[in-house]
Amino acid sequence: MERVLIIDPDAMHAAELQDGMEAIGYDTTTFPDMRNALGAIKEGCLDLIVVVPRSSLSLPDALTSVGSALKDLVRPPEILFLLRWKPRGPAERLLGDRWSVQVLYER
Amino acid sequence: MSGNEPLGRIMEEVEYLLARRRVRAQERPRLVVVHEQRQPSAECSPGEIIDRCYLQYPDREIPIPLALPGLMLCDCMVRYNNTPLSVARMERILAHSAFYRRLGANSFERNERTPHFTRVALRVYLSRLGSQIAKALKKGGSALRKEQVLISETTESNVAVHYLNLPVHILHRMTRAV
Repeated sequence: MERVLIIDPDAMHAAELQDGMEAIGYDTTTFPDMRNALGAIKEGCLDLIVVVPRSSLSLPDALTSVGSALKDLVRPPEILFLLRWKPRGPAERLLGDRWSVQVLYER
Repeated sequence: MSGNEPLGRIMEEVEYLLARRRVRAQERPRLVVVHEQRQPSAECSPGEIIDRCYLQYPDREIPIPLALPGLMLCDCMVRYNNTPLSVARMERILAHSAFYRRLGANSFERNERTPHFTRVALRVYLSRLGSQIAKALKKGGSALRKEQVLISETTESNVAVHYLNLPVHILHRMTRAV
């Protein structure tokens, strides 16, 4: 079974995502922040990490901390950044490209 | 999340990312050796240069940095890909095959002197080749380990034989790329 980790500060939103993933059959764990998720990431058996940043201001920091947490993994998981605000130009997706992560707008 | 539409889009994206990951895990890296200075009518003929080798995975070229002795060993294992080779046999091939004895003779450039291989040295080069392939696999994000790619087995007469467990390809170019 594929393992998915959700890092989302909004517990309600995280639970909705978790229900959706588990309905498809993924083994899903949620964490409210990166600090708590680090241990699970470094274990190295994840297939996907979904990161929901708090705001557009915290996006670069979130990308940096995910990037550094994954750098020593032999087979790093796929990363999806789920942004809960409306797109304002291409800058955020370009930032995602630079870090080789997928950026998706929820709205 | 308001309504089911955003959740549906997110799930589609998640399924796509995980499916892409599964497909990539099934793809095997390919080991490519590049020969330069090919004569028009023949491939892998004496006088060519072994220019470099790299892993192709999934569509990237990941260089495997090797000095000339390592390149020659890698080339030998690629050319005899279907045959497990003992160190003694590798030594004989590298010392007596016209391809390795006349390495670089088609080139006007000053060539490096062809190294002389001993069995002890070959064992060291074999281990270095394995390490470099392992680094390239890691760089490319492949889940394969060194032991799954460079296989060493013992025959019934207690001789260790080695072979590459990867699809291989020799790429030929007429002249050296500048």
